[in-house]
Formats: sequence, structure tokens, C-alpha cells
Amino acid sequence: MVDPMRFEPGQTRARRRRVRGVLQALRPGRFYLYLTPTFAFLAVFAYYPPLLAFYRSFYDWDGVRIEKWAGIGNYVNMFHDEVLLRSVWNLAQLTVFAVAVSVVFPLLTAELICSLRNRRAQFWHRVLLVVPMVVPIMVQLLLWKFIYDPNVGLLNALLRLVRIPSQAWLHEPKLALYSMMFMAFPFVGAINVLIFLAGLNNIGQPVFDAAKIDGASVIQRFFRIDVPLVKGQIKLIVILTIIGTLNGYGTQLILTDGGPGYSTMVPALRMYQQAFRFNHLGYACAIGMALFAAIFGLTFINMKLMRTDYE
Amino acid sequence: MSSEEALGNSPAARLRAWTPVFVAVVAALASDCGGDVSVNPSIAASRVIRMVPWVYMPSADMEISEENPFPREAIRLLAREWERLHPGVRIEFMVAAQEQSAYLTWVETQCRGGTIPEIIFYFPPGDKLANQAWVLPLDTFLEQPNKYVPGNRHWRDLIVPACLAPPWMAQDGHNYFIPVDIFMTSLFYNTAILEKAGVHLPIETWAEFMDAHRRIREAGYEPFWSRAMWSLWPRELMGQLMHDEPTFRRLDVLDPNGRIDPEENARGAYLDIIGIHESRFHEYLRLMKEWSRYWKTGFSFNKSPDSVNLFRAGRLGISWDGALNLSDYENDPYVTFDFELGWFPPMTKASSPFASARTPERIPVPGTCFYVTQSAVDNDLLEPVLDWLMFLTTPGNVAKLTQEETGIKIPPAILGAKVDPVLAPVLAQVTELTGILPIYWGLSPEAEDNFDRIFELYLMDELTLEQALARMAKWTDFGVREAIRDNQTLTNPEDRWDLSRW
Repeated sequence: MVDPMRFEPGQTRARRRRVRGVLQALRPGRFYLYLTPTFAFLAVFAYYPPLLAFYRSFYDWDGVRIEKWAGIGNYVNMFHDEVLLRSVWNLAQLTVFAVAVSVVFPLLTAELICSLRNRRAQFWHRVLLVVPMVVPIMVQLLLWKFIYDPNVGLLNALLRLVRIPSQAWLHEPKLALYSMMFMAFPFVGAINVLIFLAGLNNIGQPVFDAAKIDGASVIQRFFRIDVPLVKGQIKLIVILTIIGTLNGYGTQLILTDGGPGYSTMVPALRMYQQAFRFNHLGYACAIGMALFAAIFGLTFINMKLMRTDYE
Repeated sequence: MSSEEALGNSPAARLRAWTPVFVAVVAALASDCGGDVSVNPSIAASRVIRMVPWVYMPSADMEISEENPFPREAIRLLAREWERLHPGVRIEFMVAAQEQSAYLTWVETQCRGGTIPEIIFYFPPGDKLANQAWVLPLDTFLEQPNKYVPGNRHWRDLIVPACLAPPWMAQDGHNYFIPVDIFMTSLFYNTAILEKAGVHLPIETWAEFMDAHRRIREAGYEPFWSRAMWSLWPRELMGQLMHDEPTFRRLDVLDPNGRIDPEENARGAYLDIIGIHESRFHEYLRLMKEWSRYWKTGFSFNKSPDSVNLFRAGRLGISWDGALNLSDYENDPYVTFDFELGWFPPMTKASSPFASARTPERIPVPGTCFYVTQSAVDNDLLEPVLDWLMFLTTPGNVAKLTQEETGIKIPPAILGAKVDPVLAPVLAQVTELTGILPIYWGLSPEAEDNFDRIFELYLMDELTLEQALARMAKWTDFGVREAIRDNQTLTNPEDRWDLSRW
């Protein structure tokens, strides 16, 4: 076999250079081959299931036996499914609230931390925010379950101290959804704060100095400089929150199972019930597709509405 | 030898170096594909029965501690004993998720994937698994003698009859599980609270029972709540309190045996024999609403606030709880008050014109139920699996299992099994489930789930009677359609209902 790297005395310098160049260009390309298994797994585990779900959403399918072409029947049924429609209303309330608190409170917290002159104090505030992240979600849920317990819960114990009657926080239809919203208290998710902090730190001292020279107050600086310049971060957090809220059903499943009645039912939980409790997998696939479309649509709208100049 | 060979760089040397690896890979592949490669004979001969023993899972450590208060090993010892009788077959116990929905999802996933263990625990009557033919009907095996019990003619004769009665049969009318223990409920009266409220035991009628609730509340305590207020419990209770013989006879027609089987239940709902719009059903709702006024605030049929701590703290007058918790309460250092066991009194005409005046029976519910899965057939293990279950369900072995010294004592589902003296009086009241009017039985999982949610909202005054009835009627229709559809697509045509008989 001819070794392309070995040159005979008669070969010109230019040719040698050309061959060497081609080989050098090809060499990094080889590393892309190593990504093949990753993309293969992605295709099998991340792309194939949704595509299959899309296909199955047109069938009356119970997972094993009954498989009958249903056309758009499953999608039409969604508009007649009172439970699903109620769950969409619950989800809308949860999403609006989640988006609001996941932007406002972390941004304010990041502003306060960013304004600290002492770097060490800044560091410790960041650490204190991040440490609770190690607590598993399940533990947090069980902790809130205890706080809300109508018999021996912390919240009712505090209310009794000030002579306010106990409430069944997660078991009253009128309270359950709001109690669930409040579970994010104090609404300062560490990741969101860190994202905003990174954005604020990127603004640069000269901009703040210029604002100061122009006589901008703290409020003016916040609304006219900080908020516009962290718009990219706001957009990211809004998208992540929408995706998380629309997909999420773990809290409802563990704490209330969508009850009492349907007061905390969300579409993702309805999808889970249809798939794994009632064996209506075709219909569950259709709900999943609708959720995907909703997430995609909301993300697209968000991208359009919150266009940033430096994208 | 050339220098290349000496260094192991020659093609021949490289081939020699790779030969063991090559042979190992081929052997591994061949053994996996069932190739004719000789393997260790002891491994080849060993067949493994996989089992999810649920609450009887042997503990890793038999030392009692705070983290391990009730260690168990009885099933492991029984398995070793059985294995000695059956050389070449091994029983392997599999740990399962303790959280119910996680476990159910796991079971379904394994069934769909064809990797489910040969014996699993599942909740009765197991319609979901039976409808998909993931588990095997056991009727024919139950008719055979249990060879481990001398003189036994039918295996089913060993089992508490109520556990195999129609409510626990699958939709196709077959029995799919072998119960090992039963669950029975009881009323636990806090006698100290009752004394303060001026309530005297025994309570003779439903009217007195309601009056006791009122007095307990006036005395400043919670009158009534339950550890797990599933709608099934009050439904069955009311089905007895409001039993009506003529209506019952109109339902019990396809197989008139004093019980309403799944087909008769579906037919009853289909023909509106005890329909949502019938006055008896309205009365049932009224009585339940009246009673629910005394339940713990924020009750729900699914994720209800639990009664245990309320009772232990001495703040609950009457607790409806599992009878097996008796030994728990007796050994509980927090339970410093006296309590008595009791049961619901009959309902008289003073409470309702539909009252049956019959004393409610204390119905046992199958507890730990073992199902034989399709894997037993696929892996050619059906015979040893059934043999092991027969061995496990002899009175002696069930006693070892359910009454283990270090574990919680559980009432056995096998007749003649010796029990702890504490449980003996409760077990003496076990009755066979007969003649209960099905006020509402779930026709499909989705209909049942929604029915409960609507019922819950009605009891919480979130829905008016008319709104609740309209929605319940809708879900009943849905349930009937689903039940018929599921039944008519069963694999075995013999199991399909003959709708022309309806």
C-alpha cells in the first residue's frame, strides 16, 4: 500500500503541501464519527418515540390488543373531554403564575446580589442559594405535604397561634390549586437567579457609571438598562418555565392526584392517567401531541414577542 | 524466531494473542443464542421462578431496628424448603417499588415487554392484566387438590370463600389470583372521647350512630375519619344498609347464585335497574352527604388526610381502620387512652325509607394476591409455579408467613391457618360476601375514577344534586360501553358475554 505521507524525491513541494493540507483537514472530521452513537441513541430514544406517538395518536389503541384506525377521532375527543378542558384552565393559571414568579423574584434577588460591593458577600449569597438545590424534589414535596397537613401541619399550627381556623390546604377544591402554586415559595429558584446574575454581570460597569452620571435613579436604571439588557435571559427563563409547567405533573400525582374533584388536574396528568390507568394509549398520545404543539407554539410566540437586538 | 515474533508483533503472534478473546466472545454469543456450547451443568439445570412477594419480601437483615422494625424471612425459608423438594428449580424474590402507582407502571411495562416475573403481586380483581391476557385464569387449577394438604379435594376449599366471590373475579368471570391474606376493617372507638361526649356503647342503630357523631363534635373532637376512605368502603357498607331483595333479584338473573357477578353488574347498569335516576340512589347520596358532614374537613376518596395521627393524638372519636392495625395501636406508646373495636350498626326506617334493617356483614377483602403471569408459560415454568403456590398456601405455611414472629400479624386468607390471639376474634367474624346490592360498582377504571371525583365534589357542595346526577349518568353510560367493549374483545370467545341474554 502506498503511504500518502511518504514522498518520492520527484514530487514537487506544492503537491506535498496540498496532500498534507487535505489530510490535516480530514483529521478533525474523524472525531465527528465518535458522535454517531450519541445521535443514534438520540434517534432511537428521543426522536423515534414521539414520531411513533404521533402515528399512534390516530389509532384507538390500548397498548396491546385494540388497534383500530381512529383518524382524527382522538383529537376531536379532546374538545369534548370536560376533564381535559378543566385541566387546561388549571394549567393556564399555573403557567401564568409560574412564569411571573420565576422571572420577577429571581431577577430582583439577582439585582440585590449584584449590587453587593463585597465580592465575598456576593459569593456567599450565591452559595446559599445553590445549596438547597441538592435536596431531592421528592423530599421537597413531602416537606410541603407536611406543611399543608390539615391535622398536624406546620401552616395550620401557625394559623392556630393567631386564632385563624385550620384549612385543608390540598383537600379543599377552592384552595388546592393556589396551595400548589404557593409551593414554589419563596420563588427564588437558584438556577434562575444565577442566569440573571450572569446577565447582569455582563452589562459592564461603564454602562452603570454612564447612567449614574446622567442622573438615573435606581428604579430608572432597573427598568431602562437592566431589564432590556437581560431580555435574553428573561426569554430563556420564560421558555424553560413554560416547558416545565406544561410537561409537569409529578406534584399533582404525588400530592393530590388531580383532586379534590378535578381542581388540580393538569393535561400531563390526564395524559398519564389515560395511558397507564385507563389503557387509552392512543388518546394519551394525542394529548401528548397537543402538549407538544402548545409548547412549540408558546415558545415561538415568546421568541417573536421578546426579540432581542443582539441575537 | 525472528525479532518480530519475539516481540509478539508478527501476524501469527497477534492472532495467538487475540485467540482467547475471540473464543470467549463466540462462546458467550453461542450460549446466548442457544448454541450447542457446553456450559456449567449446574447452571444449565437450574430453572428460576421469579416472584414479587410484595409485603413478604425477605429482609436483608433480621435485626430489629428503627429502620427495620418488622423484619421478615418466612418466605425465604419456605422457598428453601420447597427447593429441597424440587432440585433444579430456584425461587428468586424481586424487590418492587413500594409506591403504588410506580409499581403498577412497572408491572405494565414488564408485561408489555414480556419480561414480567412468573409470579407477581397485584391488586384484585386484576381486570387490567386479565383483559390483556398477561395473567392466567386459575379456576381449573383451583379445582385440583392441593397435594400438600392431605385429604384436600379442591385447592379453592382452602381459601376464604369471600376472596374468590364475584366482586373479585375479573370481568370475564374467572379467578386470576391466589390470596395469601385478607384485609378486614373495623371501627376503633376512642372510649375516653365517647365518655366525654355522653355516647354509650354498643351503638344499636344508624340514627344513634349519627347522633354519636354529633355529640362527639359538640364535645370538641373530630367525630369520624378513616385511614383510607376509598369510595369502595362506604359503597359496600351502604349496599348492605340499603339492601332491597326485589331489586337484588332483578339483578341476580344470569347466574342466580345470591351474588352479583361482573356481567350482571354491567347488565344492571345497562338496563338502568339500579340506575342513577332511581330514588334509592338519590337516597344513598343524601345519606352519604349527611354522614360526610362529620368527616374530617377536606376528605377525599383518593389522597385523603390520614386518620392515624389524629387517632393516636386522641383527637378522633371513631376511626375506620384496618383490623390488622390493632396490634400496632396496642403497642403504640402514644395511644394512652382506652379504645374498643366495633362495627357499623344496622339502618332502620327511622333513618331512611330504604333502610334494610340488616346488620352489615364484615366483608374480608383479598389482601396480598399472587398472580401467575404469561411468563410462566413462556418459560415453561407453569407446573413448578403452581406447585410452589400450592406449597405456600397450606394452612401451616400461610401461618408461618402471615404470623411471623418479627413481622406485623396479618389475617390469613387460608382457612385453618393458626393466627395470633389478638386477631382471632376479628377473624371469627369473617363472612362470605352475599346478597349485597351494588349501589355503584365500577364498570371501567376511567368511569370509576370520574364517578368518585364527582361524588367527592357533590359531598363537598361543589356540585348540586342535579349536576352530580347528570355527570354520574354520563360516566355510567361511558363505563357500560367500555365494559362491553373490553369484554367483547377478550381473546377467548367463551369469556365474552352473550349480550342477547341481557
